[in-house]
Order: sequence, then structure tokens, then C-alpha cells
Amino acid sequence: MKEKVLALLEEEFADIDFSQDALVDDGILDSLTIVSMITTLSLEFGITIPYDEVIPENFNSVDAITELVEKLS
Amino acid sequence: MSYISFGFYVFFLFFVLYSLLVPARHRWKVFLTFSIVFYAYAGIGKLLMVILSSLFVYLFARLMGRQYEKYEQEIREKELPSRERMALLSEYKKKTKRLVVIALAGMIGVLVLCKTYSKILGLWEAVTGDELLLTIIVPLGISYYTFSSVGYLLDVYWRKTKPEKNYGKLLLCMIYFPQIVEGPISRYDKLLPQFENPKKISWQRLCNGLQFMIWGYFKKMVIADRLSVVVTTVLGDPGSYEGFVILIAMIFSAFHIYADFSGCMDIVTGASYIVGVDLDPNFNHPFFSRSVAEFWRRWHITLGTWFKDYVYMPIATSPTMMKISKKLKKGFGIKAAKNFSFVIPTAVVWLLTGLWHNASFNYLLWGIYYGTLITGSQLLTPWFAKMAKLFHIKTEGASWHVFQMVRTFCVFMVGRLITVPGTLQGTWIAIRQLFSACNVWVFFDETFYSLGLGRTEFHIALAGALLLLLVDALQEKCCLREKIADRNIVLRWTIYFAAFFLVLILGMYGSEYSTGSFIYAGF
Repeated sequence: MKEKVLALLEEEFADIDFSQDALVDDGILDSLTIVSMITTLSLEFGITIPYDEVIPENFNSVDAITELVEKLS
Repeated sequence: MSYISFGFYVFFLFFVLYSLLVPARHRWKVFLTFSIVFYAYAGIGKLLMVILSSLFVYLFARLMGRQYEKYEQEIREKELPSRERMALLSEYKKKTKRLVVIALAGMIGVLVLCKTYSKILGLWEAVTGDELLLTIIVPLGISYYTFSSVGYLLDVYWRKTKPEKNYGKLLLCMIYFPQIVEGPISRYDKLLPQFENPKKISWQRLCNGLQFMIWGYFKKMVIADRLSVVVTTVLGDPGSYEGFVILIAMIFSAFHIYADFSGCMDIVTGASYIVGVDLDPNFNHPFFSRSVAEFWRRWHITLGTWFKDYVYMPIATSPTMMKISKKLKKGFGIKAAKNFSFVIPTAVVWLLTGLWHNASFNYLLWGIYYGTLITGSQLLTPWFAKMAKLFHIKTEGASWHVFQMVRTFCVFMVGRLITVPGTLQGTWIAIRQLFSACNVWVFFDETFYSLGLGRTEFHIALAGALLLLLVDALQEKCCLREKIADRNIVLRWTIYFAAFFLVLILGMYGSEYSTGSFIYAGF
């Protein structure tokens, strides 16, 4: 799953370095990018991400994003 | 009690003294007592209203918290796997959803009623011909405490924060006097830990806090209250002026609101800083923004953050938006789906931002104006990049940056022109008059000295606006406050005393000036 999520994110957000593990905390992902990312993940994996899951811990790294997708799939 | 009054200075002196005498862990009780006194000064009826509102918020937050406690207990007892845990959570969320909807409807309903009741009465009189002698009590700072408590209720509902068990502390978050008049719109999860464990009151905190306050008073009393005279004279009656006089009033109007609002923020930030509570910053040198979107990330920051967290993001990530985006992706591709999930929430945010300021056509138009500009510039970004390449524009060059800043300032001035005249007709007259003459001679004759300020006063206002820009430029480049603090004691205190006496000597006082009323206190 992680490879699939990473490939999707790297394709859609080519200018972001996803090797980081503090993507939100370090300000690499802004709110506009997070919304765009949520749309991408929802459309690709057919999931609904509730707003209470939209917290920095769930978007700080590819691992965290993968875990979120797996939890909601 | 105005922040600019002798009564407030005495009140604040006692506030600091009592805060010094009481141990840090009990200091929140001093804050609460003084905040209640400050609020009661505005009216006992207003105080009762805010106490009722805070009890309402407290009760509903606790009820929601209780549901989540039950959920936590159930998953602990049953040791449920992840998927079943999610299903159980959604059951509990259905129950808390009812509670949050009632709580939000109550809080927002009162705010809407307070903001529109005069218009409702006017409409009633126009339709029936009867005059209704109804008055309602509008609590002090209702726009600000409603927004922060709505944020708190939503945070509890989304499980991003735990409900506060101590009612006194929650009441303090709502009515903490440095932020009740004009904000900043604080998040309770940031304020509560500071009330429980405020930083030590030190000599350095006292000096830095007083620096903030003096600069704030300078901005308000020396700059804003002077500029206000010219702005009110010209844009209050735009039909009587034309060309460059209107343009100068527009420029003054932009500096006026900035000096007024950021001045108040400096006063309250400094006041709170002295007693060990750091308020969220509301400004970050907005006149150096290179785009409108950036401007609104630097101006009234806490309002922008509030709209982002509680309106933009929830709408953009809502299941309904996702469903529509899915359909759009199938029909028009992923780009259309993404644009949709940006445009709709942004449009809603800007309409609401306009109406938050005032339930009037001017502010509705103002919201549409900014919403259109921000969505348009985002959607057209690829096209702008192509154009820049085509015309060989060096977008990283200093001259291009300056051009972008001037362009953003002009956009802001036009925004002011939409709201300052007070009616759409007034705005139209001001725009018409702006282009009705090319009266360059006003820069060389006495015209500017007949706009409510004499020659000296006009030049002080102009110098003040330029000084404001210069200080912002220095702060944008580096840390001016820290640099002053690093200087030797003689130079440092010369600067402080000079600033203090400049406020005393050049400040606008007297019944003919609107000193004491801040623009954003009316929103």
C-alpha cells in the first residue's frame, strides 16, 4: 500500500519531498495542498476522510498517510 | 472602558500589581476578576448575556465530552479492532452531532440577531409603517467570543481538544479583557495552558510589553486618529471631492485602518505579555505582501486561521464535496475536481468574511471582490506563469517584487473604497469622482490642508504613515525590537521616552476626535 500511496503522491505533487517526516509541522504542506491531497486520496482509494482525522499527525509522513488510508479503506 | 482612557490606565496598573502579588498558578483568578470588572463596566446586562452564553458553551462541550468518554470506556472494555472502533465512533458521533448543531445554532443565532436586528426593525417599519420600540443588548465583543467559542465547540466535537472542566477558566477564555474588544480570536486550547501556567512576570517582559503598548498607542493616537479626519471628510462626502484628493483619501484610508487595528493589537498584546500570557499575532507586515492571498495571511491572521480551520477545510474535505469532485473527475478530469474543491469553500469563506464584518451590501460586495480575486488568481496561476515567460519578466527580481507589493496595496485600497463610504451609492460616487479630474495642482496648493487637518497636522499624519511603513520595512528585514533591546541603556531608554512623549505631545485628544473607538470594535 505504501508504494501505491507514495507513487500517487509523487505523481500529483512532484515538487514535494516525501522523504520528510514532519511535512505539516515543518510547513511543507499548506492547507491548500492538504485539501488537494485529501481530494486525490479520496478519489483514488474511494475513501471518505472525516475532518476529525485531518490532523498534522496523519499527514506528517507517507507512513502516516498510508496508515490513514488503510484505516479508512 | 476604552483602552485609551485614564480609567483603563489605572485599571491596568492594578491588574499588573495584583498579577505580581498572586502566585502563577492562581493568577488566572486575577485575570478573571479583572475581566469581569472590565466587562461589567460595559454594562451589567451585557455581562449577564455573556455569562449565559458561556454557561451554554460549557454545558454543551461537557455533554459532548461525556459521549466521547463513554466511547473511550467502551473500546477499552471491549478491546475492539480498528474497523469496529471506527463504526462505534460514528455511532457516538451521531449523538454528539445533535449536540454540536444545537450549540452552534444557539451561538451563531444570537450573533446573527445582534448583527441584523436594526435592519430587521427597519424592514418591519418599512413594511408595516409601525415603529417597534424594541432594543436588544449587544454583548461586548460578541463577534470575537462567538467565533472563538464556536471553534472550541467544533474542536470538542472533532475530538481535537478535551472540554474544559473548570467553568471559570472557560469564562475567562471568552472574556479575557485584552482580547474582548477587537480580538485576536484565540483558540482556547492555546489560551488555557497559559492561564493555568502563565510565564513569570519579569523586568524584561515588562519592558517589552510596554514597548508594544507605546508603539500601539503611537499608531492609534498619533497616526490613525489623524488619518481618520481626512478619510471621514473626503470619503464621507465623496461627491464634493475629485481626482487626486479621492486618491489620497484612499491611501490614507488603507494606512488608517492598519494603524488603528494593528495599534490596538500592539496595545493588548503588550498588556497581556506583561502578565505572562502571549496572545496570537494578528499582523505580519501586510503591506509587504506580493499577492492578495498572501495579504490575507498577514492581515487579521486569527480571523483567517479561524475561517481556514472551521469553514474552508471542513467544507473542502466534506463527503458532499468529495462526491461532486468524483463526478467532476469522471467528466472533466482531476484538475477540474481539484479546482472545484478549492473554489467553492473559498467563495463561502469570503462571503462569510464579508458578512462577519457587517451584514450590509457593501460588505457582501467586498467579500465577492476578494473571493473572486483570490480564486481567480489561483486558477490563473499557470496562465500567469506562461505570460511571465512570454514577456521575459524576471519574477524573482526586486523590481517585480516591488510592483507586486504596490499592486496588492492598490487592490486593498479599492477594497477600502467598497466599504468606507458606507453605501453602494457612496462607493459608486467615490469611483466616479476619482476618475472625474486630473487635478495634479492639489499637490502644490493648499487643498490638502482644508480636509479637516491644518498644514502641520496633515504633515504629522503623512510622516506618521511613512514612519509606520519604515518600521514595518525594518521589521520585515530583521528584528527591530530586539535590535533596540541590544543597545546600551542610555540610547534604549532615550528611544522609549521619546516614543512615550511623542504620544503625549502628538496624540489626538479631546471630544472632537474619535479617540477611544477602534474600527474593528464595531464589527
